[in-house]
Amino acid sequence: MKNIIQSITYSLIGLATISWIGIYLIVISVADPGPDSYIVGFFSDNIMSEERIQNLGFDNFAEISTSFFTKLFFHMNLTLAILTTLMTLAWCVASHYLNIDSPGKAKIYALHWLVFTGIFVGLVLAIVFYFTGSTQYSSAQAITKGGQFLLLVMSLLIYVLPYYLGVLLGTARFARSSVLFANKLPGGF
Amino acid sequence: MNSIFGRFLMAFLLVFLTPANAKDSCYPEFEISKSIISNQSTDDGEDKSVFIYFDQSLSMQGYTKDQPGQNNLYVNVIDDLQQIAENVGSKTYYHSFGKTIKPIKENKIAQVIKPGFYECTGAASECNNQESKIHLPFKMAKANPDGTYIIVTDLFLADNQLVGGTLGQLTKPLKSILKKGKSVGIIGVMSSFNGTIFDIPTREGGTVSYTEAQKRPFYIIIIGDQKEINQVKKNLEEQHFTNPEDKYKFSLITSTPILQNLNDKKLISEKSIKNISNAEKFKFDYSPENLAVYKLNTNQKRKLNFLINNSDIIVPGSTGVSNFKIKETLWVSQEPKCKNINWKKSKFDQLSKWEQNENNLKIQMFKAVSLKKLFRGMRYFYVGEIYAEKPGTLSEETFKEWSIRPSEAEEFKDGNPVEFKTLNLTKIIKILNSVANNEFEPTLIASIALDFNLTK
Repeated sequence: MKNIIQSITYSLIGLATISWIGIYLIVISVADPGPDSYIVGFFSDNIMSEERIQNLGFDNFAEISTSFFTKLFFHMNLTLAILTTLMTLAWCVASHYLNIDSPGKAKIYALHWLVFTGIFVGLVLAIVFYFTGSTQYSSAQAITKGGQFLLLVMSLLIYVLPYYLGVLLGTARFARSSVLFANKLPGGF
Repeated sequence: MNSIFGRFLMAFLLVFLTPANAKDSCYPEFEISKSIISNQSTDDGEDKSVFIYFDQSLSMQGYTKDQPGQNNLYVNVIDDLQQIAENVGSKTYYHSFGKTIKPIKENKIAQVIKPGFYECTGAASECNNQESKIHLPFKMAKANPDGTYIIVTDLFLADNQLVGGTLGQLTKPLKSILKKGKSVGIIGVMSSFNGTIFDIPTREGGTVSYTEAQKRPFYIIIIGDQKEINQVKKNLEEQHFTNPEDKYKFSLITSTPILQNLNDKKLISEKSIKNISNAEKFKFDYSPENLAVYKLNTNQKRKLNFLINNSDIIVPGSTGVSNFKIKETLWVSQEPKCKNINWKKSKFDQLSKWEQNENNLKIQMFKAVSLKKLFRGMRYFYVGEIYAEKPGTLSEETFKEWSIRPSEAEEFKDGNPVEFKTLNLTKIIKILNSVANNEFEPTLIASIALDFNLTK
């Protein structure tokens, strides 16, 4: 149990190194960044179709950004953050229960880790598509195809990278060979 | 007790429900164009004068002689024209025209259906039967536009009567007549014919005559208000064109081929847009300015086709309309509720398309800019004003089969036709139409509004 708690602590540290960006996005989304903020400007320039918005009579994206950030973007980031945390911790805890009773056996579980990670990446992609491409959120209609791709890449960076760092640090010591580059960590860690 | 309760209930309804309803119709600020369809003179016919002009040219004589086996509609129609004219106005004046206009005394009117009326024993230069200056009655109509003018002619006009100054003599008075809101009705009647058709142009440039025709159309041209023209037409239809074999055609030359504005008479209903009443929270009403307003919640897949029956907007027998324009505006508000409404005028200036067939005009709303291009979760207010922009050519088509071009006239004559056609008829109708079209002004047919929430 002590090892598991230690694993969880390490994985949370790993997660925190990058996932603070996700937390920051969640906080500013729910608080509504406001029309003059940098993030609204960034979205206006790179994610949203200004032409569609202006054709409808709005001056720019800033005018309708509240519903986008307080609903779509907040919900999407919250979902991704919860998923990332749960998946990271799930692997780290589960790694302690892997049946590794002889040298070299941990490498067999590399395949399991790859499948698990694949499922996670797939879920991240599905969530981003659900929020930005489905009819669930009306403000998603203003997102361009290029903007949707950019959001996808950004989400992968913001959530898959901390997941990797989390599992890298949090995987049970005897199972580290199953995680890419985890066996390179110092022995005493 | 009941009375006190009733009063309390009324007060409650007034205080709470009335403002709620008022708030519910929170429309953006806009102005609806007013209908400019001119109301034609509504004077009754009691004080009106009717002027009847008979073409006295020799080619008309053939209508007065019976042709065995053929129905002589000319004699029957002209016989009744006096009575028909009396239905239209209080006093009728008769004239003949050819080289000049000559009044016909009342006791000589019966002569019009006798061959002798078209004969002249004097020198040809003195006779009134050598040519038919059809522009002369038009000139008279221009001089006194309050009257109703009926011209009986074979409309057999040579090319030289339809060019340059001679044509101007016809088009100038016509222009003035149309400007005053009058119209020109042309009723073509196929009648028996037993005589000579003169001045048929040949390929070499001369003219020939033809005596073998047994049938030939004559024309009753009525200049006046549309109401009077229709009255004459109706009388003729009821009294003379009852036999299915009787062939007649009607065309109306008018600068106002639009019958009415649909909003004025509240002819737009919830059925005008197919299946719209199935929409969630559907409501249909007219605003105080007579704007037909459809309120609904809709998804992006809905097809909004606004249908107008041609018979509701086009004057029967007229040129019709060949081009429509839809003046549209769309407003959007992020907040659908009235208390938070903040309308923004969209940049779309063409949202819909139109198509017309022989029965109706279909406005395909949100065809040019699909509902899919609008954002869901917002409230929209659409105002569309449908204008007739360009007159059509329906009346030219009506008379096409009775018309012959000068270049084909000789060949046609050589085929010994029993039923002879009218020279340059389509050309005359075209000329008259083009004058009318020049006077045409874009006319508002209908104004509609859609107040809708766009849902998933």
